[in-house]
Amino acid sequence: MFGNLLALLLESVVYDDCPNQWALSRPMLGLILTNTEAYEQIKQQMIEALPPDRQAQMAAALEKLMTGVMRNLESRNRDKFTQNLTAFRQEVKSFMNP
Amino acid sequence: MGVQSFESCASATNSVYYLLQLWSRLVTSVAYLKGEGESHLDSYVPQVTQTYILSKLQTARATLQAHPGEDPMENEEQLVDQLDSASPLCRYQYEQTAKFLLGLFDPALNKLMAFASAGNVALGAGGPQAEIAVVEGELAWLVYIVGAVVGARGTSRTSDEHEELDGDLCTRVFQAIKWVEMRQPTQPGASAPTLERLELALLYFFQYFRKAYIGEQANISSTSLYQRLSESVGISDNVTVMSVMVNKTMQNLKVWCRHEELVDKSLVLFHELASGYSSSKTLCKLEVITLALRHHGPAQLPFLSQSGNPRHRTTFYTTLTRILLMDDNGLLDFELFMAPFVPVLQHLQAFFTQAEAAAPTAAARDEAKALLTGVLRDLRGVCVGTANRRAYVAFFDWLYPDFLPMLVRSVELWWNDSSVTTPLLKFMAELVHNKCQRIAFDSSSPNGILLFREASRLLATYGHRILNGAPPTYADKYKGVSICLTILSRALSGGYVNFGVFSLYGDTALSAALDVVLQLSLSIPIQELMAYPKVMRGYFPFSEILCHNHTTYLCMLEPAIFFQIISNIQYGLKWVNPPHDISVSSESASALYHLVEFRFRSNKKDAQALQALESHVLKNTGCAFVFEPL
Repeated sequence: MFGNLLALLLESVVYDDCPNQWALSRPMLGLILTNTEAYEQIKQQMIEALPPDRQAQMAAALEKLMTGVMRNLESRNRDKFTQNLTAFRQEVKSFMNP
Repeated sequence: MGVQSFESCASATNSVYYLLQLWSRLVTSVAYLKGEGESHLDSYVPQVTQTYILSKLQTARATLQAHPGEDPMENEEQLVDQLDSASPLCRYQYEQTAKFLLGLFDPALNKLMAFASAGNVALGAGGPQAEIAVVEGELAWLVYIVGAVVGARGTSRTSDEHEELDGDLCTRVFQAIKWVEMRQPTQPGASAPTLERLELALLYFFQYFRKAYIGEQANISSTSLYQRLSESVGISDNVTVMSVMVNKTMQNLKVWCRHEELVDKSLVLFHELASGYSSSKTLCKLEVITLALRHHGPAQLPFLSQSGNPRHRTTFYTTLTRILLMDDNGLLDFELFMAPFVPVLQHLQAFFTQAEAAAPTAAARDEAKALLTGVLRDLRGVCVGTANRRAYVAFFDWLYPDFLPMLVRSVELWWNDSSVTTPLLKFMAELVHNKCQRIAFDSSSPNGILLFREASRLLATYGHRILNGAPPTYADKYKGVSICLTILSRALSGGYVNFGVFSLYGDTALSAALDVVLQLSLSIPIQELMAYPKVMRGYFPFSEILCHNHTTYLCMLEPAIFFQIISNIQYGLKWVNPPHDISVSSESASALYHLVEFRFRSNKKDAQALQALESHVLKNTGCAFVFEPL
């Protein structure tokens, strides 16, 4: 259940140009932290859904998403995640539409 | 060329507007011109302006001569657009235009005065009605243009001379009021389109006069204007002029109670006069206002009971309450102000007591229903007007326990009649709304809890009946559900109730309210819910509050209900792109955030709820989400 919701949010944040991106990113960190298994699965699916020449780039980008993020929901940590997410989004966009 | 076009302007309203705009731009850009070169505008503009004014006048005259009893002008919106462009033109070379206008105004007024001295002029009294109508139509146009010109005072440099000219023109308008008062219908229903038009023109004039001479920036000591006005019509300062305007407005509410547009515009003017800082201070001093605060109700103001005006009742009482509370101590004791409502509510109470003993007659029911819906709209207006703590508490003390419990009895009787339940639920939604932190009772007062209990009782009484008996249509069900959602969301987020006490003392008010509103909202299929914006905007904030402040309650729900809430959140999360209302996805995301945070925190005290949540999660691992990039 929570895995579905996380996948849905990742999809909208990465592939939709939604104006309320910040609001949508809010529950994501908590979802990742409380559903580690589902998160690993989703990552795998996101990578495999791409053509082979893009897969390595996606894997690297996903790796960076959680760099420096701790296992807590303090506001500083949440901000760090939001920054990472913005960077992730830009990176994915740049290699998806070069 | 311009002059010729205006001569034929009867036919083409739209092109007149663009032509006026062109000239108006030319005139307003003169200020930026450099150099000594003489501009031809000085001679052309007055010519253009005068042709425009005259041609509108002649059009009105010709229309009325051909079709007496018709409204000679286009709708007011179009007219106002034209006037806004025309007014800077009139103030360019103002002396000439003002003289020209006076030259048109005076003969029209003289003609009407001659009719007046000849005898019967009142509506429906016979006499030369057709001729009167023609002059009235002309006069209406002149009042409009004078209103626009005076209102455009800020667009040109003001000088004492210009103010005197304003004064001369306004004098004519105030004289026209005298004529209108003679003509006003003696019996309800009698009317003439030209007279109604003239009344609308006067309200337009009042609005623009207010902006130019009474508004916040306006110079209060407009001595030159008032000198002219006091010489001719006895208006010597801003208090007197406000008195004339407010008296006329109140008179409109009586005489024109069946004319929706006039009632609406009169109330707008009244509201705006009460909203301005300096004008509201003046308003408090007027006798007509102190009288209205003591004596208000359908007997004094018949517009209140006219069927076309339900919205206006609320507006009127909001304004009146604002005026009452303008002064820190209240212009009048709150109880005294509310006194006119007491007999109505007592009458209703007697009706309900009798209804318990024996079924009331159809006539008694209809009468009670009309009284109830009316007074609820009035009281909602009062409640909207109580914008601070002291006023709100006074209102609540007046209402509870004497009258508030009556709402539940009304719902028991009329739950399936949305003409009753809509104003009733809307009143409750206003009463529980803690705007400006107005709902703040003493720390020893139980009022916050009592208020919530009443709201809960009302929601339960209404909700269970609707769940079991209402057809799934917007009018019969969804609209009521959307107001219930608003009531509960506002009560839950108001911060004036400590919701912990309910379970502590075994009071079911909270769980009963949550249960019924949740059932109501989940009884609407999600596609239907999203199809009605009001229902949608009611549901998602509620779901957010549920996840944030009542997480334990949420987790302990039956799995089927819990999953429906989550599935609605999932649906809402997809509402990410305009034209969808993106606040829906923001609220859904926030709801989810709070639920996830609750699970992450895993507080020891929430063990039971967390366990329930985990069992929900375990039950729902079947359908894996397949990630597909777009």
